[in-house]
Amino acid sequence: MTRLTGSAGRRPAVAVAVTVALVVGAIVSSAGVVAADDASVRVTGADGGTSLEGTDGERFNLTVTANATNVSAYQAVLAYDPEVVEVVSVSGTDEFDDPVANVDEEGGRVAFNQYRSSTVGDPALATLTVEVVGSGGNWTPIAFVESETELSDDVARERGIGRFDGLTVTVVSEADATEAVVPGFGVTTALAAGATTYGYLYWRRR
Amino acid sequence: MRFNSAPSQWVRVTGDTDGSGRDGASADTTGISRRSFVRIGATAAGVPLLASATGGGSATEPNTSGAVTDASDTEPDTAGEQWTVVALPDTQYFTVNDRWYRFAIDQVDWIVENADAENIVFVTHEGDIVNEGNDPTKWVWMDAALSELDGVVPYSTLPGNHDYAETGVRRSGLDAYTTYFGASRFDGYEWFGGTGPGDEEANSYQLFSAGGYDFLHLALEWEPRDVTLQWAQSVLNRHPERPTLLTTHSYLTDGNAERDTRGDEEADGDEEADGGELNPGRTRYVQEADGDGNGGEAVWRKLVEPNAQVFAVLCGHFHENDGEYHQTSENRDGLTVYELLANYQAREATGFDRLRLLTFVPDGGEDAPDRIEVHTYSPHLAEYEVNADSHISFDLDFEDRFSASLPSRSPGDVDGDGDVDDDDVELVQRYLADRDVELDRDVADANRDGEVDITDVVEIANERGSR
Repeated sequence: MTRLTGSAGRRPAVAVAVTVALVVGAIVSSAGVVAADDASVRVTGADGGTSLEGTDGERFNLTVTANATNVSAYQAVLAYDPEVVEVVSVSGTDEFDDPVANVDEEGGRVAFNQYRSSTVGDPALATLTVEVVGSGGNWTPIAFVESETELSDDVARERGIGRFDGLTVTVVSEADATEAVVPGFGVTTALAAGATTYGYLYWRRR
Repeated sequence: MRFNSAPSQWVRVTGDTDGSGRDGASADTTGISRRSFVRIGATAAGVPLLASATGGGSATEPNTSGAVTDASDTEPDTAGEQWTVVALPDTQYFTVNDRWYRFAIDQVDWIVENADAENIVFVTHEGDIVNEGNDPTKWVWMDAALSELDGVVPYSTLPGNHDYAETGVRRSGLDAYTTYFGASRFDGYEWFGGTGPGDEEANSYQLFSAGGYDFLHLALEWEPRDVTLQWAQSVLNRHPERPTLLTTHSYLTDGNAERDTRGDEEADGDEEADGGELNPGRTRYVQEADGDGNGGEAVWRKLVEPNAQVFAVLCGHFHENDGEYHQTSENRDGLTVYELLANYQAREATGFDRLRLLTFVPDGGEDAPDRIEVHTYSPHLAEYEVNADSHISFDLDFEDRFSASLPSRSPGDVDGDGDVDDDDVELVQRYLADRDVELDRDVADANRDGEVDITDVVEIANERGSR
């Protein structure tokens, strides 16, 4: 079961805090990097969300995209806590073939790159499938290693990236997930049961 | 009377040195004979200037303060088997009128007459053979002038911007150039390597020997294209053991290396006096009309720097200051490359017939065992020009420099198999993806930006097919 919660998830305090921290971090880091270039990269969930929650064993598809013109090649490295997620696979997109990739399972790092013969604007660079591991309450950012993430045009000029947006993945327990999936089920049941009991007792007193 | 039609006679001219006072021996545009012109240089035939300039007494050399001194005062040590390479800067203005044409005759005649005494082993023309590439008459003139070298000494030509049918427009073609100075002119000589790329004849290479070393010379077109550089690389790869001298028309400027402050046609020869900024060096721009080619810096980066065997680059073309500039650079292997610009066309009397002499003097060095002595000499004036840019000495160890011509992999040939292909691209991609790959970072840094990254993947992918 997968729930894309954005900033309104079950653990809003943690998720929002992490998301805000990442965004702030991205803004701060961009200030002194490539001020003249507005290119950006981001990794998002299937619906574009920036935080995910899932139970142990759940898999998510993440998309790495670039907001930039004249992109002919990229290299990217994402870092994460391997106690929280595992990278299952890295694959290509409509714009880029399957990348040359390597997953460092122990180090929590996935590096991948690819090129194409022509340029493209705002491309999807790669798709990652990750699996949630570990126990409920743990979370991890999946963040770009900025010094190792680059874009290139078709004449081997680096396109400066001014903004790097990652996401967070939070592990929830099965029980929490169950409760959270049908909010209010227990109350409804209790109310129904209570009403039923009250009706039965009322009927018996008559 | 300063004109004499007898080819064996020599006349010393003490006035009217630009030839303007000459009576009119005009070139016959339909059947010119170089012997209809009289060499008026002062050097007696057969009297060597550098190797044993003790006789004749006419060779003079200005000292660094501008005074004229006898050449024998500064002649190099003649011990050992020294040898000389002659560079002919732009001769284009020699074809403007028949008075100046005699300078072309004088240059070549001096070379012929002194070939043995100076041990001249090679002559390289630096391009702009003529001023108007679409004027067949002028090609006949220069054909006649340079033909005296045939059978005397190995030599090369290459097209400058004025040698194209339309000056500075590559697509206008080189029909006249190839007619007179294409492969067919040189095919019979064993020292002639060939032309390229493909069936083109704008570029050539030559093989000659001197001092116990076997040399390679590359003569490359004005602002050589990528395909030309790839062809040149293939020649280097076939002769990795040969120390190499490269000549190309435009490479260094004595004006502004960063920006083309004015077109070549507008230059009057004194950039500084015109208020222009002097920032000499390898050009970082392309002047070709369609931007089709490589400037000096790109030629350095793509061809010279990565090939250890290339020890010197000669060029002409620019004359923004005084038409002279030189520098030394360190190539990728940490070896010195000597880079020299000479072009005297903008000087008085189109520079007379100044030429460059690169004399290799074994055991002639002070800071190192050997020396390359660069002289600027005018056969017509019988004078050396000696200033910081005209008389230059480079001390080096011939054995080290010329034996260090180990084959150097071309940028992007990461796997070292002699070509650039998909395997090289993949190898760098795997390296970037943290795979367990060891590679030569210098070679993998194909775009020479100091780091190996995805831009090198693009650069190598773009270079696939080159060797």
